[in-house]
Amino acid sequence: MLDPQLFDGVCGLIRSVVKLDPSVHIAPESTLVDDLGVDSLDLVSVFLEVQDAFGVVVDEEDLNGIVSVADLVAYVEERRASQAA
Amino acid sequence: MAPDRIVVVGHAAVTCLGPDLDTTWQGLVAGKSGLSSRPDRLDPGQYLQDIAGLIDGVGPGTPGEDPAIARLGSRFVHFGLLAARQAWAEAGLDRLEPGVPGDRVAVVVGSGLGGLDLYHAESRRASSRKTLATGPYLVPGLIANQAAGQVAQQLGLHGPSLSPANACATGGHAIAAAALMLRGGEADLAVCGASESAFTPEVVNGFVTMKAMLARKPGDRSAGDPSQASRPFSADRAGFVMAEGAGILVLATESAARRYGLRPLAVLEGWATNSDGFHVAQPHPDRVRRCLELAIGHAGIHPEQVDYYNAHGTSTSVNDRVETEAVKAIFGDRAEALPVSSIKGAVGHALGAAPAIEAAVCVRALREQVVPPTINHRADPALVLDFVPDKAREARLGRILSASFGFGGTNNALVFGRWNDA
Repeated sequence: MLDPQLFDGVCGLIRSVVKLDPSVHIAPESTLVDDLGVDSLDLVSVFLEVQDAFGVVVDEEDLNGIVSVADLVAYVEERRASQAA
Repeated sequence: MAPDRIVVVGHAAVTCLGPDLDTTWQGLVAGKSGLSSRPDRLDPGQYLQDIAGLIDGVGPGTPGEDPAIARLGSRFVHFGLLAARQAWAEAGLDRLEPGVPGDRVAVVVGSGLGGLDLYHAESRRASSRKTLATGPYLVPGLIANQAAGQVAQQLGLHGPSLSPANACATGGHAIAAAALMLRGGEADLAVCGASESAFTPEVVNGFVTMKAMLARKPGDRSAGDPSQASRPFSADRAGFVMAEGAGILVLATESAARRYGLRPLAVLEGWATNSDGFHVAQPHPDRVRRCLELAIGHAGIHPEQVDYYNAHGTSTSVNDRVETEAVKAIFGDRAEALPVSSIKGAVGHALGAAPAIEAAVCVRALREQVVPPTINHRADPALVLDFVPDKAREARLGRILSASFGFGGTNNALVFGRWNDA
């Protein structure tokens, strides 16, 4: 189960980076590239925003495994936990 | 056979007087100033001068933001594209069916300093990050050719592209380079001009430190009234006032204009560029004069056929003196009767964009048969010309000479002629 607050926060960052039309619905399973039109530069922007907003360090190597919004939220949760440990 | 003439089929400007040429022109002929004190944008704790010609309501992060380029946070890209869209639409090219082949349209849009505003903002953000990463849109927004890039991308243009960076003469060089492309057969049309917004503490304070820009001074007449800050050719001129904006012309060969049914607004009759080869920032009087002579010669006219001299007129001590001397040398006995004005009193100095904004204004002046004034003018006994002080003037305008000079010793002059519809 995704943390709803974290999910909303990540969605807000995606919306601001991609300037998504407010009518576009973001679901956990929405894919960043195909569903939300996030291109390769946007993707880096999103990760930087996530890094700044949630205080986690995003490893470039991990980016390829992140396809959906849920993947990204789960990744942030995991990094938070591992960096707190 | 005479070469195909180069005609102007679209003209636009985005300035601190208004986000389009109509509003800018109305402000100019009304003698208004677009300059104001803006501590909200230029924090006096960081900037040595907070009087500027800023544009509100359009550009990144504003209600008037162009959604097509929302990811690019540098203001010069937005102003350049906005002006280009306006000039393109004025020419009717957005509605033309089947349209001009994109690979026959050149894009020559320059910038003196590019996206330094974004660089400054991104540097601050990056310095607080846990990693060394920088935003991926920094480099695309910083590069000085991105205004040209977005004009080409958003208007679907695929001809030759060039982005001059010739300091405060950039826009003039862009127009001259575009005209050369048309004359050389590389394109039938050209979207050309320049765009600028470089408000960072380093740039503003650097201009103040080198005494090119008006400093904040309690006794200055701008202290009580910021609209008085820029006063070209005045006895108490004390430096330029920085502004942002863009100017764009759409040029076409006369034959292409006819082929596509485009309405000529004016003729670009001549142009010239040269180099001082002299100093990092000071103009060289002989080379400045020579550049004006070259443009007049290139147009195939005599000085007495120029009806109005649209001056670089920055409001700096040196420029206005050197430029006045050049005009006197070229126009001789007639110099004091020739209308000479600088719109920088009203719109400030938009650096690389200034010559292109002035080119658009010159085309409008030919259309309206009106000379825009030099506002805030107080006569300097050492500079005696007809500076068209404070009030616009109706005049018979057949040809206008417009000149610009940039740091690094780079000069440009353009001759625009009236298009006779008959």
